[in-house]
Amino acid sequence: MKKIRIIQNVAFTIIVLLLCIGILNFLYVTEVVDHSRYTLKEDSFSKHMPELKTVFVGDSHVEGGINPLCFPESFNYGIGGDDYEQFYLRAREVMKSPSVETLIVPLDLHSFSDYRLSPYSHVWYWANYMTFEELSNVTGKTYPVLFIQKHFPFIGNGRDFKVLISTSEKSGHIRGWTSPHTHIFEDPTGTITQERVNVHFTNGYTESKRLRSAFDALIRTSNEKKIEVIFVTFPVTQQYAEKSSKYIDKEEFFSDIHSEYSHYGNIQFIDLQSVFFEHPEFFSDQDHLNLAGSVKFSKILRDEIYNLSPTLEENILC
Amino acid sequence: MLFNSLSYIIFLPIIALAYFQTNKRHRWIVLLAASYYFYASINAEFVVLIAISTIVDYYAGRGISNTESKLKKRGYLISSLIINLGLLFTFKYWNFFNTSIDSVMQIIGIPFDPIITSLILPVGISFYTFQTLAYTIDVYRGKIKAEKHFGIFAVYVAFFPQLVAGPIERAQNLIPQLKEEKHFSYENLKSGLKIFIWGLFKKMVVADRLSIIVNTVYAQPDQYTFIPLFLATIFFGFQIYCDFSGYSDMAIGSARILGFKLMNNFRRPYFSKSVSEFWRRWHISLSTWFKDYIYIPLGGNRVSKGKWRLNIFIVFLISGIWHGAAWTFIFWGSLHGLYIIIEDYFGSRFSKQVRIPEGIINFSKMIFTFFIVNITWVFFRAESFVDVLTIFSNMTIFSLNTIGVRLGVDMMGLWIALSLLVFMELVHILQETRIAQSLRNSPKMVSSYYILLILLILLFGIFEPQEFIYFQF
Repeated sequence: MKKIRIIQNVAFTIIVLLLCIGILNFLYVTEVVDHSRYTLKEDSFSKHMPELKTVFVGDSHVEGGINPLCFPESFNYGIGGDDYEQFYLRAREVMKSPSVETLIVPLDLHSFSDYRLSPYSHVWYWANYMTFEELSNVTGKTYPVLFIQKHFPFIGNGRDFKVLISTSEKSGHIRGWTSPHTHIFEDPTGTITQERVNVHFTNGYTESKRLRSAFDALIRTSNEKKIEVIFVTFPVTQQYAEKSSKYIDKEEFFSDIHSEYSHYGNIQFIDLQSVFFEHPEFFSDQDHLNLAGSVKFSKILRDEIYNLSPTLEENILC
Repeated sequence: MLFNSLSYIIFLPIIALAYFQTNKRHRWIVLLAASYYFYASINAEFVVLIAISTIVDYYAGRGISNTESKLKKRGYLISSLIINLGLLFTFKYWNFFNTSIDSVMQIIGIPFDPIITSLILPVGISFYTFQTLAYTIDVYRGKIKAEKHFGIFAVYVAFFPQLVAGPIERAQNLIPQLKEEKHFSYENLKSGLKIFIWGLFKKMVVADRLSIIVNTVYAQPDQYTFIPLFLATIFFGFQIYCDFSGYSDMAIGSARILGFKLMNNFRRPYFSKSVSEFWRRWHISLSTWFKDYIYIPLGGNRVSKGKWRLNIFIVFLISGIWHGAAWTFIFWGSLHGLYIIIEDYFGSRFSKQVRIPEGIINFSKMIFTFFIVNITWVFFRAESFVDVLTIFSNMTIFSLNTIGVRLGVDMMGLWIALSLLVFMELVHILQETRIAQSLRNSPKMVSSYYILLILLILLFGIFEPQEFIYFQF
């Protein structure tokens, strides 16, 4: 009798627990994963992929800073929070498409600074781009842990369930371009800018081997695939440029890159870091463009690329 | 391998299965192999130190019991003390000792060339050293007989649930259990799992979540003013409690699954009404160790008031040194000693003079003790005395500008951390009430409660395994 009661209790506990886990996971996948900007962007990219000739890969500078309507058959594949290794992983997938001719990737002064805390926290997403072996190498996690995090993404992410009660609208995008903020950045004392510089250049500037080798891999792979890569240095406020210059010498940074990679025929560099030094009204913060800035910058970048590749067609939508 | 890792969740059932499937006579082999494997997965190169401690104390114990000569007995004891404390000193205190002498010599003006080693601290050395010392001292005192079975003794020293961060077990409690014939018991499995889950909740959900805020603020204390510093200090109080008591619970729970009863290490210490009571509820296995092997041999309370105060101060000074090789720890320990002396001096006078309802007095005492203990954690957590001074001086600056700024979490993260902390304390309070007693009688309610805990761990736990704070001691 006692044994039966024990079995009943154990069975009750296990069944209820598994049921709760299943429900939570289902809710997370349908309400969080399926509506996340990662999934929405992936879906949109897959839809446009067959026709794409130009793809922008990068972080938040790209995601909010480039209007792809200025560039024919293009897609903005930038995702805020990504680092150079992730640019490469995404570019690696993009380069598998036979239609893609040009990749446009940011190359900023903090591009090789390893300041992001946990770049692979969304295992469910990165498992599509990487093998478990690669993921295990970069995260230090074992295969069983990665398996669990891939298939049970709600684990450790309870706070994401706020979407169930959140009334804010989910932001959309146009060919991957997430329309940025409209407000104008103000920092009269320079403290906010200094904090950002401190984040970008934690304890001064140390080049991350991991990120630099991703940059290297991106150039080598694109060269093999005969895909043109244009590296763009994105605009920042003058205040940011001055403060960051204390940590890193811009001239030295670029001359090193040029001397090491200039023999690759498929790469170009466009430096637009100072293009809005006289226009603080184009920034939503010290290194991100607002909507007006993004629209203006897209036109400037388009003209610059046109100068490099006169074959680029005019686009009336820009 | 940490208790809060997937590897351990797989390791424990395998060991339990192997343990109960093995013939009683050979079970010690399973436990010994599991314990050495467990330790090697954390600190492989220092397994040899545990083996040295085991061999030394086994033969010291045997030597003491096999001789009638008091001189020889003392010789064995002293040899054990020298070797065990020598290893502890070399690995934990050598650099601190050298740099401290160097500082003093520089002040005096005598040239001194400190010899700084690159040795790292072996995980758990303070814990197993104290455990083996307790055994040898008890054999010397005649409180226990020396263990003849080397394998059983080796398991006593290295028993994996409590090897790296306690509870510091006594031989008279653990060795007889290692010799008992144990059968798999559903009750043990159930209660062990319950204790383990509660510990896991405290560690992964509360401690590791609070650590994000604490680490952010304490990394650059000069950047913060009163509110974030005070918040981070209180949070550290809860972090260290949840981290360490969580570890102890997981150790006790793991051992219980295998059929062993380890001593309780915490009894809701933040509900203490005095600092002395706090130490009867906090890290009980260490407090009682100090009581049995230092305080009582010094004379305990059967001495003059002045000598008693000195004894208390010495015990807490040593407690500070035990915790870490830094002056901040020594100061932290000494402060606790001072609090108890002051408490004793004023406590009796105050209670005789003031007539306030007991409930209010007790509540005030509890709040005051909580405040004192938590403020003193600053010495424990800060990296240096310079940071301690910065923290206390910046705590006098009241500014709202820094609230929510660079706490390492956003406002929602802060609210989640606070809510989970309140949930934990509510459980602590409810545990002592009649409601909890009656709920315990309903198996469905108990199951539902533990399902809720598991779901909270899955939802809000930090799944980047973080080491336990007490591993560094």
